[in-house]
Amino acid sequence: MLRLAAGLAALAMLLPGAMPAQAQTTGGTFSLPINDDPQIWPVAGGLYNILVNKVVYSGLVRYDLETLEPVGDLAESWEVSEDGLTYTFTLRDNVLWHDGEPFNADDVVFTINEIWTNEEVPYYLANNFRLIEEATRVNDFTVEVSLSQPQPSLPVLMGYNAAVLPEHLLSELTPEQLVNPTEFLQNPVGTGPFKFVEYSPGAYVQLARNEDYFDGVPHLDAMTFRIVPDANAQLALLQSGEVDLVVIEPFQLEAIENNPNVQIQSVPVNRHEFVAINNGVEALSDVNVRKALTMGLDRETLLQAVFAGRGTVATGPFTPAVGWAYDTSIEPLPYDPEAAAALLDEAGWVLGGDGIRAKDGVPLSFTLLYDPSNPTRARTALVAQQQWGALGIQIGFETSEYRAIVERIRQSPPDYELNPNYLIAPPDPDGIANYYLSDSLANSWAYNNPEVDALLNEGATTGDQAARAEIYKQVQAIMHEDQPNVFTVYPDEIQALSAAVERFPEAGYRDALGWAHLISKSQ
Amino acid sequence: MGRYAIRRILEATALILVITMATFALISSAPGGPSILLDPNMTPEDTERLRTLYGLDRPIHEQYFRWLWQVLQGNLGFSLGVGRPVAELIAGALPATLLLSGLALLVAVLVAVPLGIVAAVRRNSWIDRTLTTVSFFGLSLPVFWYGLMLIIIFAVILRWLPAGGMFTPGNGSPLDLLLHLILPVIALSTSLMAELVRYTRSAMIGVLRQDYVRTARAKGVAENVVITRHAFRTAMIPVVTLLGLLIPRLIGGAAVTETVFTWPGMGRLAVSAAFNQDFPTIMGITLVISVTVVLSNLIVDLLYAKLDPRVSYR
Repeated sequence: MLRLAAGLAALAMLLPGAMPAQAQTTGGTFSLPINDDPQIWPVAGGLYNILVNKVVYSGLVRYDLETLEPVGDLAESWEVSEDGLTYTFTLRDNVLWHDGEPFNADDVVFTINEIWTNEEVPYYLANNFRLIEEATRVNDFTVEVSLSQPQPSLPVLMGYNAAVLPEHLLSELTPEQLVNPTEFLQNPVGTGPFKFVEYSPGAYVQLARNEDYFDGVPHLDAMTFRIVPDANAQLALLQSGEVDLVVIEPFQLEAIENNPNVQIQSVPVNRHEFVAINNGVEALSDVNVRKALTMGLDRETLLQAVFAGRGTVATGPFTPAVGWAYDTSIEPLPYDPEAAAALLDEAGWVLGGDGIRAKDGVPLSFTLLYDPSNPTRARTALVAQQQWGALGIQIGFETSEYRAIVERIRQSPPDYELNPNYLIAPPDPDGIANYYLSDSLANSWAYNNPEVDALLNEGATTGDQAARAEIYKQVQAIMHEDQPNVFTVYPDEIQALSAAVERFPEAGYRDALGWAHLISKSQ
Repeated sequence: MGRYAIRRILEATALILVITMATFALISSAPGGPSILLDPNMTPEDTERLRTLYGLDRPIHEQYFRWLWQVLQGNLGFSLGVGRPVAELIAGALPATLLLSGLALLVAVLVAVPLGIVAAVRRNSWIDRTLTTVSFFGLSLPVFWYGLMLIIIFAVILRWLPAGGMFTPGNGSPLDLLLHLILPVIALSTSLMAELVRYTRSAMIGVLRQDYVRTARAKGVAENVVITRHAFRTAMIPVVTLLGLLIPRLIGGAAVTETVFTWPGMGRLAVSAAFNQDFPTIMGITLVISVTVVLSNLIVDLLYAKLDPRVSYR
């Protein structure tokens, strides 16, 4: 009976997924490039790890392809206690590990207690689960998770690269061995739609269809992750039919747009682009100056020119991808150089004879720090320099390698003035909170607004979704006034797919790969 | 000869230590840190925790001596990027590089040396001028561009050859390997060939002017014997030296070719380790490459001595 219910649930989940009317083909190998050698070990971060891990392992939760709301993966359903402090997960009872062992509550309890929340194991997303006190087994297929404070974003965070690992293979390892479980990594075992076959370092990871996958047999026979560091080589492989998916930057579109062997799919993702402002710099601590920067930058043109028109103009750090919390009534500040100039005048920065604004003899001058190897950011920097220059703001450039930039903006106080950057966050507004709380180390913009702090903390612990939505809409209104950063674009993810692909779930590829059993290719 | 060799080995060891120290200091002074510590989703608190766990918060000299102590025990450590033993990564990558570079070198020598000789013998003829011009272009071609052109023509447009990789995943046949080798070998051997043609040519021209060659000719020795037996052997001395210098360059310097053709060798490994600031892997590769350089220099010196009796061991 339970199995029937699970089957029906699986079927129900498939139906609204906008499946094309034609029958899906069975078979074939789907191949996609990743930039570097992956670690098939979900404790370590890094994009290439995440992609492979999404297919080999399952989480308790994954995201609905349309709404990005959390839906069951290994968990069939969950309930939260009235005080918000206890989550009870009901697990699927039809799941087998790739080695044939049955999955049960012990695996979930082990993963939560010994990996996610274990201080000695360097799980890169440990912070997401800092409020978990303990997971306990109620019976074979029920787990209770107790929290020190209510955390309504918990199910969302559990769908964000939080894979469940096999207790029967890992429970004997010491925390030190769990950092690098060498033997396990020779043959990683998960519950995902594809099983590990072979890893050839520097070359590829080969996965085969998991015939016992709990959510239906995958359409494909196999998946291959090919390690291709060079972006041009990735496109060449796509054009020669050797890989099936390359996620491209807008500037690459031109090269393949008219190629009959390639189809383009653009999907909204929970990501935003912005020019980061160091609010700690004196001139930039003035809200009028920040507003002038936003109004003096033509974000619509930026969207067209730099992002190939694929996306929408941004209003803040919360994206429309999380529909329930996004305030559609907020319009982006208009591009209005005159109004921007007036704001600067008001702030005391007066245009001098040399075309540069100054106050008390100090010129209005900033350094824009960017990574020249990323054309999207580099072009943003050029456009910004031009348009802000026209307002009488002197913009100098400083270029640096991306990781050096990350290190500098993460310092306290941050070591930069302006920097084009982006963020991808879990699809819950709480995923953004950490970047704007005044006492958070991740607040690289030195933004400080006690009202926003209070609201973000309230939003993080309020149970009712409608009430949360209200709270986050207030945050958006305040941030719209504050303009802590120049929010530019919510860019779509541009997926270049080989013509043979019949279906690649329409979501950002991180989330889509959680549904890899639905990918299909014509033969 | 024995004492000479021992002295050279001691010198080499000291040199390798200096190289590793310098590399360690250089990597440590680079900004940023290993990319696993820079995941945008990771909070700064967790980054600090990991830094401590991997010992990256210790003073540089302490980190270096820890690394050296490990190496002396035969352990190159764990890659911070892949979470596999560095020795395993290098053991996987080295054969791929040796195969690609060895083949490229072989092709280059087989093609370039005879061409160089022809160019020298027919100096200033149309053959010579053509070869000089072609090798000039060969030397000037940037591999990242030339490699991509080869891929676009032979893999994307004509679809004759695979665009990259060493094997088709799941297929390990020698034919498959051979097909995957063709483009990267052409890309890598072209500039070698160009260099070797010019080098062989000038070495031969120098030798053909020598008195003993003139004497041999005057004695009525057949021209082909003069060229192959008398001149060629002497001309090969600088060419062998060049080959010796090319070997380490091939192993370390195939980086661009390997990256463009996604060849799973040492060059690609080095590039990705450098991008990830994966200290243990960078150090492991540095060690292997510096040992290779020093060893091949030693071998060249010994070969040199054998080819040219005038060289004495001091």
